Amino acid sequence: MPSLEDALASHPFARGFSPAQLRTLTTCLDGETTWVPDAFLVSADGVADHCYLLVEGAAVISADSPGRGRRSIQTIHAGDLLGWSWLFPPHRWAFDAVALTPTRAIVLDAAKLRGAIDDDPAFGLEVVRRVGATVADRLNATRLQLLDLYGNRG
Amino acid sequence: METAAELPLADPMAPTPLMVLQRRDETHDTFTLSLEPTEPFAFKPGQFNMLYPFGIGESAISISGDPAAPRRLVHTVRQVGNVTEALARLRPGDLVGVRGPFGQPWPLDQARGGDLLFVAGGIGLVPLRPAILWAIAHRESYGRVIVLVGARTPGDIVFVDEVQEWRSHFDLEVEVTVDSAESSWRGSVGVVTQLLPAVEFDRADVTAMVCGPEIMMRFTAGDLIKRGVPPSSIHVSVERNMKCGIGLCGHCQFGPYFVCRNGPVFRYDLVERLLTVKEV
Repeated sequence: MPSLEDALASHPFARGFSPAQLRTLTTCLDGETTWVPDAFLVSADGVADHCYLLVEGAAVISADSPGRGRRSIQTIHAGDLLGWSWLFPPHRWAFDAVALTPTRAIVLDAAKLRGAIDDDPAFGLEVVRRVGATVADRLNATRLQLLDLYGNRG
Repeated sequence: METAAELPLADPMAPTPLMVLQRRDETHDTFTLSLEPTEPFAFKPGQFNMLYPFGIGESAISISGDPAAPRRLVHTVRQVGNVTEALARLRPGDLVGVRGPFGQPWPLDQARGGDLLFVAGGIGLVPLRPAILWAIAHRESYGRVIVLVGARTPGDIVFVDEVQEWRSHFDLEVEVTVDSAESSWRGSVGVVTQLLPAVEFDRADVTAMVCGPEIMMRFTAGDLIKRGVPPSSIHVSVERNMKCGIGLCGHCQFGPYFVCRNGPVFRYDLVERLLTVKEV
């Protein structure tokens, strides 16, 4: 079983950090956590005080709409970053995330991470680049979903 | 492939009336017609026929059947207009006119020895199905075989029973995702490109065959290229307004190509720029 530090270093989010930046990231570690299927990883409007890096399993980002039930929006998998609400004010999750399978994540303390970003702009840029790439990927995916592409091929 | 696709028709413009043997609903708007050819109907995966419900008009329809079963000619059709609605009304015993097969197939021969990656969006699984069946039947000829399927909702997955059966093969990797689902759906939600990071293949020796809406094909190809797959190893199936089927009438002109004769399957590097032109 690799140590938590090793697991963090091998996570796709940490790929490309310099050794010094990886050490900074490691100072923000706050353990790891697991969820059973159907457990909520985070809840909409909950305080986003942790950054989660999935290392095992899958979860679905979803929203509960009164009268319409729960709608699934996007599935995230091992290797993914769970959301970015921890980085931007008001630091509250915008959507729910529910485990589809037994799921495990590395936990980073969001306040420590934000502090490290402020203290070291080069480190901060690397973090924001990774978060930005995740945002861009999910925005592109959402745009494709919105286009409802699969309507007219015969 | 060893079996050459030959036009079974003496005159490629004359439809042959074939009898409908079976009609099966795939989804709420998609159905499969099995026809009985008068003689074995050889085709290559990826080719299409012109189907003619008499008195209504012709439409280019991908062949969705098993290339190893030439005595049953199978097409899967989505109802989107007059011709396909007329095809939807056909019942066993009815006749439909058939011309074909036409077009260039998926490059299954050239892909031998390497990995195969099939990426289907929506009804794009239809022209890929014969290629997937070919790959399963000739499994020893390929490395990894990966099938990624995207659909609008769980109820819109075509060949759903067969996709489930493919998932039971130990030597196939099959992943499915839908754009939208109730929380009772335990599978993946998101566009088909989001399945790509989770699958492993030999970037230098994979042949990707992609079929679906053009935007989906463009994004899929873009993601594959970002992962290091050469554009020349990516193949897409393009759909245009095919009429004659033999490159004479010009209705399906696509830059320097006629889709009916030079396509519908194209190497991505040859058509990448054309796919972003509003009117070719």
